[in-house]
Amino acid sequence: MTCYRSRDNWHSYVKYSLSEAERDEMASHLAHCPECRSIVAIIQETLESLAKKQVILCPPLDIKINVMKAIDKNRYRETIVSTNPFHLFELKNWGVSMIAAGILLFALNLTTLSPGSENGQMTELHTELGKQITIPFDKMSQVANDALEKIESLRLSK
Amino acid sequence: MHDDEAQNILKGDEELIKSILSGNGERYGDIVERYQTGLYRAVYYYTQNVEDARDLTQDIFIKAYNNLAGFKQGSAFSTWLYRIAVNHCLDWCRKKKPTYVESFSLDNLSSDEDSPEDLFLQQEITSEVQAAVGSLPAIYSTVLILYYFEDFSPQQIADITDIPKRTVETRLFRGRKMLRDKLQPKSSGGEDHDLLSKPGQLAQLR
Repeated sequence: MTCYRSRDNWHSYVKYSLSEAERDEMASHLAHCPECRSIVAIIQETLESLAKKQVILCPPLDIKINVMKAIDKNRYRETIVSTNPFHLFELKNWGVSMIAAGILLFALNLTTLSPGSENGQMTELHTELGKQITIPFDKMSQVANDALEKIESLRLSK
Repeated sequence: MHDDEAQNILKGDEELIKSILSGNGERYGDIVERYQTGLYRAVYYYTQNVEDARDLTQDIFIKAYNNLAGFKQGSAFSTWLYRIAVNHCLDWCRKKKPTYVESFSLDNLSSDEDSPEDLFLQQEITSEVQAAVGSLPAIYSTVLILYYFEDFSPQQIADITDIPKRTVETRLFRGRKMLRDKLQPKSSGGEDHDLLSKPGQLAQLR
């Protein structure tokens, strides 16, 4: 053995199971390497030779019969049925989520309709929660006005 | 095998498996029919007798059916099935490898054309090769069986046996050499009677 490629993918080459680029590259190597050529020839020869000496067996007829008797033919039918509750569970989850979202939207609408909203407050509830969710719209508009004034003055100064 | 043919088999298998997984268990019979010849033959190389080969083939098909939900759609079913088969056979060999080798029976040979003399000679040679393959260490016999008798490529063998493709190539080189060494002393005329290749080519491998 002298060629460094003598242990290359020659078995894959013989079975045409390489990419076109790989195969072309190996073919060009074969063109000038008698050692690798003889290896490919030996593999091909062995394939042909062993194909002739292959055990030609007819499988017993009862293999199929016994297998079909032994398997549970409804195995995957049951799986389909058993997956249905899962889908139902998923749908149920979606339903619960939608109801929760609806309640939230309804609650938000109610707060905007409350009299406090005119004063820039979401709610007039005199509870701790009511105080926490008060939104300072008056302060927000003041900040926005200040920002607009600054932009205007900058534009005029230019 | 041509690409088109392989694609057709792949598609056909995929349709069958989809059908089985959607509840048509009866269609598994088509899968058994499609693969039983090759699988039974491959198993026979491990068991070296028809009774065990039949039992093992049945077990493999049943195991494959029970695990069919784990088969990844889009990959080759044959590779998946042979992976189960090879693992099952190797397990079987570890547990219960018989010490005898059954003489190959003429009844098992399916041939319509050969004369009885040809058939007898073929039987002799086949038995010799079969025994030689069976006597090799399992890591070598597996790659030889899959490559030379079941027409798998080294990449497919790598997928089946879960070893790198490079290792498959190396084992094929070594396995072939071991097989040649086992077969050669039995032949009387040296290289002229090599059962694997032509004499001139063989000399260059040494």
